[in-house]
Amino acid sequence: MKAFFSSIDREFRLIFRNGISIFMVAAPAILAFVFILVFGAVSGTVLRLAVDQSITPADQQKLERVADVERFDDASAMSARIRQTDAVAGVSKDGAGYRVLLEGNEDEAFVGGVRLIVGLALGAGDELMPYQVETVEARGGMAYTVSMIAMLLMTLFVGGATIGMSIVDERESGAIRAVAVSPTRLGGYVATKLAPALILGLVGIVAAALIIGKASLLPNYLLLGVASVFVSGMMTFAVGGFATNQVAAVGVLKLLIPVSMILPVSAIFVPEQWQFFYYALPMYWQYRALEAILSGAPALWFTLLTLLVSLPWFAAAVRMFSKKAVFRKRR
Amino acid sequence: MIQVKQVFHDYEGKGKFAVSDISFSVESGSIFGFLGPSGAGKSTIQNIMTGLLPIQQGEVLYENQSVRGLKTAFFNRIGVSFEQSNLYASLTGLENLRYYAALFSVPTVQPMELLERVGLREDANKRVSHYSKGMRQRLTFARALLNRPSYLFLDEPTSGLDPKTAVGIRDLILEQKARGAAVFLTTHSMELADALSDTVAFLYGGVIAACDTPEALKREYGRRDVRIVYRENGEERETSIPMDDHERLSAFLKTADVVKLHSQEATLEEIFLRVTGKELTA
Repeated sequence: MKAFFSSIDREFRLIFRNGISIFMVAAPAILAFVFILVFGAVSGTVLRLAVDQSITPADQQKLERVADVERFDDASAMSARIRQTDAVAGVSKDGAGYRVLLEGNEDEAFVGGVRLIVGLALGAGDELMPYQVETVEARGGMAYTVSMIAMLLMTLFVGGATIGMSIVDERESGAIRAVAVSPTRLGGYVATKLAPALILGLVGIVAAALIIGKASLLPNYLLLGVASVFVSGMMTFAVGGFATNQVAAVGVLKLLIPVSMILPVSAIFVPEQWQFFYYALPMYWQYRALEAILSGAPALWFTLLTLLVSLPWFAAAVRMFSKKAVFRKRR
Repeated sequence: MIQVKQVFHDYEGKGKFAVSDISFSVESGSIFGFLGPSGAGKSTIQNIMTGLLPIQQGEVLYENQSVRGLKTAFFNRIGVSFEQSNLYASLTGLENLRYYAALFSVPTVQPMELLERVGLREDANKRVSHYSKGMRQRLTFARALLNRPSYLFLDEPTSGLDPKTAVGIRDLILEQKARGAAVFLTTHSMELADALSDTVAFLYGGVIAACDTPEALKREYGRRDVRIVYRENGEERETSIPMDDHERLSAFLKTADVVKLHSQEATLEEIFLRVTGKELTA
């Protein structure tokens, strides 16, 4: 165990002393921030409204009970605000009634939700019935789903890729040869690479989930993160096995990123009857699990399949690595 | 004791052997100097002996136990100092030694003690990326001693070191021999091999061209010369005459304007040249 913990300690020291590794580890969090800038955070979703001068301060106060309200001096400024990328509806007074202004590309749920809430707020007296805001943005939209799944797949990919780069560094410097003539077994070496890859994957997915406001789904994500341990391991030893230097490692990553993220997500566009082509791909099951988690469907079966399908791939990657690197099986 | 018996190795499997019919033994408490130019097959043999390369043909025995069947615990007993300083450049010298020390399941030498011995105590907490080539070489050497190995493999241990530091490393190697380790020393430095080795082998073209004690090789292949510096036409010149060629020596001394005269023994370098017909260059 002393060797195991010492190796983990060394691994994290090396990661946090290398600019590229730090960036790779931070990538999921950065992506999550980019994601919320584009799609908005989901947790604590509030309706955002823009109003112009036609709305009286009293009406604005009513609206502020149900939404974040931005006030604009004229209708054109309000329109410009509505046209921005985030979901903001405009409210103005039109004679005796009110008018809800929308950008035009919102889905029905959003439109219906805005109408209902604005109507409730403006029609109510001092007391407003308590209500819970559900997701009002285009939650089921394809762009949202694809981007969310791709980002979460990325968080699961990064741990394995980072540790793979670490192996490449060991091979390039020859440090692995000194490990190979120590009592370290191949299995022990593999374990000391799997553990940090798993930790990085879990930290990445937790960070991403928190940033994008999916904290309530954390247990599901964590379970998927654990079940993805062999997917990460497969990436680690594929990078470490195929690449003998950092330049080659970047090349290998360029090949693995599409396989890890684009290929599984492409299943969205493939009819159900052809999906079996993806069944041998562990990342496909990761994608299915994420899709199920995001839509609130049971994900346990897909999570288990991620673990089971990735095992033979992982074993093949380790076997290839042990042949290409200097490690040999010992008794 | 390490025994290497009729080892052959063919990297490509096309019948072109990198090393052929290599046999020698290294006694415990002795230093075996393995000499040869680059590409002669020294690293191949060391890699086979340390288990980094599988044996294709022949046998390597440690205390009569084949390297093919060595268990993990055996690797607690070997130490390898590679020619290339294969260290974690982002870790400090001390962190490197601590990490490698943790890989052994036997008591190890305190890393700081070893750093002191190789003159790196002051630089223990510097990252290896900031070390000079010589400092890295010393750290690589120190790493090989962490587990007090019974079998110590040293590849160019004094390469790139200043003379004072090199002497310190030589002393450490002799200490390992004195405590009973079998030391396998691969080097281009004939001086180092001559000073330390109990037995030397000349490897050339993948085969051992000669293998014996340095004294025996000098007796067999070398000759004692008299080196004479003399003056001729106002210029100093130099010549060597075999010590046993009394007639020529006597005639030369009678006629020449001798400035300096001293005896010299054949060096391993000269013997290597005589045995292989090639100079031993890196």
